[in-house]
Amino acid sequence: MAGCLSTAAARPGKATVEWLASSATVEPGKPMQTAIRMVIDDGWHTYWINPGEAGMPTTVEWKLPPGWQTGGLVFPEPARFLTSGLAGFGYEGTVLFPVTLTPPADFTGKARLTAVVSWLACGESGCVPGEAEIHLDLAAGAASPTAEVAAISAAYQKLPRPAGNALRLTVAESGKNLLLSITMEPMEPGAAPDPGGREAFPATPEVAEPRAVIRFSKTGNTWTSEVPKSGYAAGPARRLTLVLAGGEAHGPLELTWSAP
Amino acid sequence: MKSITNTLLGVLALFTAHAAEIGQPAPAFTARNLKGEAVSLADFKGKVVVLEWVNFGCPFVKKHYASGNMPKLQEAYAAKDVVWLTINSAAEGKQGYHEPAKMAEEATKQGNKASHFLMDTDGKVGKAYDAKVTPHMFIIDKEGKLAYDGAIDSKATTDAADVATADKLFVNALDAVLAGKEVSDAKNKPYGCGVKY
Repeated sequence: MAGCLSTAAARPGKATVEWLASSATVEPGKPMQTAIRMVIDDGWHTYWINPGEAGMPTTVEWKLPPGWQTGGLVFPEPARFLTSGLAGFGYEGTVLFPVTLTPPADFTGKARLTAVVSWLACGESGCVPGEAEIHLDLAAGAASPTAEVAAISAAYQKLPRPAGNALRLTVAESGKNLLLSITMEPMEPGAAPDPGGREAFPATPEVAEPRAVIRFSKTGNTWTSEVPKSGYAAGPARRLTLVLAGGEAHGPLELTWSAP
Repeated sequence: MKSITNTLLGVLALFTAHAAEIGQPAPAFTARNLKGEAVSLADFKGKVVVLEWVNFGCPFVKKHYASGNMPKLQEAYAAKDVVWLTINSAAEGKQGYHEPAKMAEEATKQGNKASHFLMDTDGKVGKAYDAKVTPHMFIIDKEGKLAYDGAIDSKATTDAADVATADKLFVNALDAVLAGKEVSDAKNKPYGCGVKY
């Protein structure tokens, strides 16, 4: 097996992490799909890129051989939870974080890649930091699928996709609130994902108040939602990325607005 | 859908109406210290007062006590005539709560050097200030107005090594208040473990 489990974790942190590879061999210069699988103890959760009112997002310190590239840890769609009355976004149970790796164009022989994963696990009884160093041992060669390839591929498939031109997000200020509008480009019925009824999670911290559930309701061709601004917003909103939860017909979508 | 949003906004408005605001008079309170004595904010009229929410079991608090950072600040500012109140708002039975004698032992063990350590077990003080996490820092100026509500520093991690390199948000604010200058970053997001009311 190419990946390895963290055995002696620097700090146990109520979760174990493991690096899974889609193949034990990788072609020089070609990106390969891998995933960091985190299994979180029952009753605990870890945090999203925007952790919410408290918590701390999972981060990774990469120790890669020269010439290797990574796009970093990618966060899947989170869930919302309330801990000690504070709203947070993150994960429970088992979660796979996709990590794309690209070896240098002249890669030959073997390579050991190291990731030091740090996280915070919180539950009703408190918070516990976790840290573990995990490795991936890869060799140059034609790709050959491992037993994990299906799980990894599924994790990539479920990632939020940019909504592109189908849905456009705009943000306006209205006193202490933000007015969020999503306009749908006129097109074939059923072609545009329907934002109605699904929760949208703010990926940009300190813009929207985490306790406010963002849900859109329709007026004509526009979906709107009014939510309180974060109490820590430094000024008018400049940028907001939302992850719209996946539904039966469509996967999660990522919408981004930047102030003109 | 709209009525739910309005209700939610109403609830949030109600919540923030009770919370302290920067530039406004800091909410009055009375709580008992670890010796059982009643301590009131009014006792310190005319002085600069620091409120520090604590939970010794929280890894973010441990970062600032194990590194010696918090006790060092408590001592340094006591020398500048600042009244430092460490407050625990954990409800009985919840994580972070200890009964006063045990809390006194723990505080001594951690090196706490506050002017008073207050037991806010019914959460009244915490809710008056909207103390959300531990550590959560507040500064009250000599006129009794709230001058700071936020984080101890800029690195929201549990790593003690980050104390030395973080932006000293709370210290900068306290120094400004003591110098009679305006606090440039008076309200920011505190990091820590949720207060267990």
